[in-house]
Amino acid sequence: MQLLQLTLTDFRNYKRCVWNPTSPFVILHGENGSGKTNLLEALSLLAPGRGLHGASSAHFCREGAHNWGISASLKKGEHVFRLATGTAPSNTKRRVFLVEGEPVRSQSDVASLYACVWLVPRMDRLLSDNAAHRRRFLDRLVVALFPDHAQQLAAHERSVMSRNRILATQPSQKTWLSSVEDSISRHAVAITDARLTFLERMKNSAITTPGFPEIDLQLDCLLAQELQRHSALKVEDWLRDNLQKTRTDDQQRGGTRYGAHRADFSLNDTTHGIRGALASSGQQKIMLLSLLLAHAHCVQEGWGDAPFLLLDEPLVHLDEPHRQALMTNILERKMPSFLTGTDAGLFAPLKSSADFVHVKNGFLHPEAP
Amino acid sequence: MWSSPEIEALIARLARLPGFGPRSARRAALALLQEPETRLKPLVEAMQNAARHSHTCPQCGNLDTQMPCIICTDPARDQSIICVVETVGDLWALERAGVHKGLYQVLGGTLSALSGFGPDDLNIRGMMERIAAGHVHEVVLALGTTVDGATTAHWLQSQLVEAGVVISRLGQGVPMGGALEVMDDGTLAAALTARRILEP
Repeated sequence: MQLLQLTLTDFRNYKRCVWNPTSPFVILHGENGSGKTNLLEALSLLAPGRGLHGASSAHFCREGAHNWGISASLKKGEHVFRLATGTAPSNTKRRVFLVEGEPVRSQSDVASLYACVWLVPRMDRLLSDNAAHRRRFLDRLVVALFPDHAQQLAAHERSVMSRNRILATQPSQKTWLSSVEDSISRHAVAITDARLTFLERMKNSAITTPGFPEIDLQLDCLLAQELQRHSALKVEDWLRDNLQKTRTDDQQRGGTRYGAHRADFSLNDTTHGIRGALASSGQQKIMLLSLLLAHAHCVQEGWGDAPFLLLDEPLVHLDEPHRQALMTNILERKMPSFLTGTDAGLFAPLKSSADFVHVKNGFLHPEAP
Repeated sequence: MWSSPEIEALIARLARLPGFGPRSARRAALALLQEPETRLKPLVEAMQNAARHSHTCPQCGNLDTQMPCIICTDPARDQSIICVVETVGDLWALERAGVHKGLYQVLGGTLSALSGFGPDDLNIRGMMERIAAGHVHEVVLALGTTVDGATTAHWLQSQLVEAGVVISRLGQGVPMGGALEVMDDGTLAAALTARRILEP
């Protein structure tokens, strides 16, 4: 996949920006606060979800403006299409997606056209921090391989929220609870199955990333354990039973104990025998980059196009050999990548292949090759 | 403001209707005002008539100018089959297709804990009375495949399971004229699950 043009309108600190990159590899450099990460965020928002900051739509609009928009012309194989997102003039609170100017039916339609994965500085301790952040990261990787996963996640989340609401406000509605729990069970099993299939694909592709350690990705999830022993229908029944049994407890706790939202994953460096959860920021970053590069390769094998790699300050915390290895891998595997940094000089090995763009106060200044 | 408060009020009212935005409301208002005799006055009259005479059918929840509605009172319709839909718009869509010859039940919404629409808000009384009277053989659940639609269908199935009626739902899968290669995985999976054996 290649970005042919990106247009930002009243997005964050960009009033109006039309950019035509010429290479699939882009280095965005400039001072802090110039708009480098905002541009990566814009690319992340072309996929379903809340983007790399997890912000709500209200935060994307430039101060003083009422609507915001991101429009991209993309090339996938020989197919060129326009994908856009933003708020509609008639409803500034609601975010919409357009493909070739037409509203899309479901977010899966967008996910099947466009995928991106990212690594930003606040994820430097992802492997030892909040499980919810880890799970979201894992699901983004899964969506890139199985676009329908996004729809299943949204349906599951809505069903879990509904169950929590009914338990809090109308716990005597047993039949309603059973119906919602049936929905949770169906979607949770589909989600877990997709996660397990993803893990299997990653293992089967036996990808090694030169210069990076070998990694082992494991799903830590009760549902996954059940699915490895029993049929999907049996696991749905098992989950339905457990949800019914734990209603009183869950009502008191104010949450749902069983479901796909309780999963976690662990990532370990098998070359050096380092557990991700106990690793330093630099070691964690190396493992995550190794996973992202392997994943991009896996998606490329499966779909013919790698997802966009959005790497915000990727060289921070990395030693020189890993910096070199990252840039070599991106180039050799032809992964469409957008990297940011305050010092353009650190990206010198990419000088002859990448677009170097100086970002200043919401304006892009492409540099001559 | 370019026009008087009365005209602005008309535009604002039109803009609140489904399918209208500020621009289309302004265009519609202009079209009405430019031809008051042929457009505006007949529309006002039709709206007043509709407002005066339309009611919600106490049996099925349909909108009509007679009570019970024209469908519930039609002796030619099959009284033994009830098609459950979410809105009157869904009922109209099925009537447009002309494939259902039985009765309807308009729920008025789907179960949504997040929107505060619960089982007590579902309009099912008329259907339950008809079932209790022994006139109904089959209930067709014609609800959307959204999370709330599926939850509502499951809830209704639980309510009807002991009523001794056949419960069915609309088929799901490949739409008419659809090409398999552009279908999403969920639709393909639903279509394969609901496959039908072809009779020789």
